[in-house]
Amino acid sequence: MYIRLKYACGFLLACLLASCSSELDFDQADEVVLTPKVDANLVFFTLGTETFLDETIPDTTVVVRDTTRLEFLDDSFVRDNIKEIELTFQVDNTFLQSFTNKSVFLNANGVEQYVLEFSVESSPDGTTARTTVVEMLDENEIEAIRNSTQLANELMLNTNGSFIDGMISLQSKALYSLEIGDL
Amino acid sequence: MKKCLLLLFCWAAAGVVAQNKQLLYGVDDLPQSLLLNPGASYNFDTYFGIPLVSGFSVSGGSKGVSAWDIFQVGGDINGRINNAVRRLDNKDVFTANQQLEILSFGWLGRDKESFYSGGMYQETDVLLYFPKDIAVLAYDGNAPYINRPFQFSDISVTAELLSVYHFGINKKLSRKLRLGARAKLYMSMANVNSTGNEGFFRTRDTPEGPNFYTHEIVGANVEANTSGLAGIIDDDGDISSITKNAILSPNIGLGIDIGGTYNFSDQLSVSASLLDIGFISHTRDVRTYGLSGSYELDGLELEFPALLAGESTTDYWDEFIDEVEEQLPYKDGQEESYTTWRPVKFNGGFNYGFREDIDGGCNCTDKSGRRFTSNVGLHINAIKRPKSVFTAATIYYDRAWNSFLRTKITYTANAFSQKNIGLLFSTKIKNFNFYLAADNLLEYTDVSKARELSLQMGMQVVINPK
Repeated sequence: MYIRLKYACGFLLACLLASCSSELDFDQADEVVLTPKVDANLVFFTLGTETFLDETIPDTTVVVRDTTRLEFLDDSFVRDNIKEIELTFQVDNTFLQSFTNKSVFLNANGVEQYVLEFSVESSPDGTTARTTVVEMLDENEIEAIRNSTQLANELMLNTNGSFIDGMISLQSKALYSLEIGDL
Repeated sequence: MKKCLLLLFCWAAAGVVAQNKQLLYGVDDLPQSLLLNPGASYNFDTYFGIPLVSGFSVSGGSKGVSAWDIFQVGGDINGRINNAVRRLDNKDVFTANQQLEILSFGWLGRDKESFYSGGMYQETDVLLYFPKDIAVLAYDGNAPYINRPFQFSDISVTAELLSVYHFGINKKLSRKLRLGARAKLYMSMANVNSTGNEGFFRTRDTPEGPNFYTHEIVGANVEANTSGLAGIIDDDGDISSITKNAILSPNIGLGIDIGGTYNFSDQLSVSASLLDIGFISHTRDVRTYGLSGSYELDGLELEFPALLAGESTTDYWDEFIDEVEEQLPYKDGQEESYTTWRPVKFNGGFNYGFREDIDGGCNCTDKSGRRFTSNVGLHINAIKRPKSVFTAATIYYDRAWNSFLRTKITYTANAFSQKNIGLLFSTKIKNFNFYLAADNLLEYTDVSKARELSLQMGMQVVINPK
């Protein structure tokens, strides 16, 4: 009996006092990095014929422009952690004319930081012609985006003096790849 | 900060029944058994604890991941964290509980059939469910999960630091039946509570919509309450207000424990108890943070106003911010009272005694029958937690070797662990009692890989019946 008793007590004490631990390296916490990819809409619009009829300055080219602040771009968290940006624009056009779209990222003083310009296909017969542009930004362009707080979008309609009728809609989004190392 | 978060993460996992003190339950030599069942059988006339050392218990655990799983030497820690995030789910829980008896005492009433006990103990109780959806969103972002809702209900945490004044009566009603009750006065020292959150965030694909996606917050009702933490939040970590609340707190609560024991025969008995049926009302030094409502965002729609025709420009960004603030009102530290409920615990026991009687065959204190040197039995424990009830079942062998040494070995199983072996030994030298109990002994072979541990120990003066 006492031998069993001795074993029981010895087992508990041995477990508690002689328990061991594998080597752990808590300094690895400094190497932890989160790498989320955030897919977010930017601006969108749908414009009909009337928008371009109102603007009558040039004879053959109608230009419309609008601007919005995007203050999240100026947020220190975003500025510090953005590693990649992929911009996607998709434009559906039923006009028989082509367009030139110019998306301009501006700093707080309205100075251009980054410009993405592309042609929008004309519709051959009034049906929808879709133009998709995907732009992966390089390091310098990302730095330009970090300095931006506004986005201006400019549409140039090349009428060539002909009758205009149709609808144009633009969708846009950005895929941000973040690297968050400072939790 | 990062290390703290990761250490917390290491514990975040499943199925621990902390506060399950199956090693102490039903051990009639130990006054602590009355804290687990105010209607328990006992075998002492008087006891008083040695302040601060009469009873100490600590338990905590995880199942899904251990410290070693994350912080082992060599390899890629980010890969290991990534694996853990995939493996854990929103029912995995980190739990830690600690109790320290500051004052304890008990005595047999003049009628010899009532036992009175009381005291004060301090308790820390932390429960954090692994916020799976939030962790996935933080780790991967929304891009790989278009159309998947990220549930706010995954945010569920309670943390309580409190002291408890208690007084209980154990009364023998008949030779077979014994009942008990304990009144409790809770003094909350500090509390954090965020449970019952609702709603979700989703990025929805919208091929027929105006933009690529709709980002939506649907039915959000997310709230976190704190009390007793103003010193830390407002005064840069001043914890003096917390310690002041230990003796007398403005945030108080009431509770009750009830329990009983029924002896079918000298050898066979059943017992049960319900503990901490109570609440704490937090009215002072409180803060509330939260967000509620629903909101959909397709992006910022440009309108291209005809400036030459006199139309004014639109401040889309300000409109967006105004809409968000209107449809998703938030609370940023408002002083709102709130009530928390203590986690109710259930204990049930079935005991069979055998071998020769202790003390010559008479339990002279409660006169409820003979006492035996050996006991086997079954113990069931359940704790009500915000998302579920944690349950565990234990079988045990309890042996009094002689007048100064008693041991108990347990095997406990719950939904998450089937290899929990525990051992108690309690020794008595004259009127001085010391006990030590530990769970999950197999885990002690390498503590860094342990996912669940608990330890209970204490010493007190116990005067046995003559």
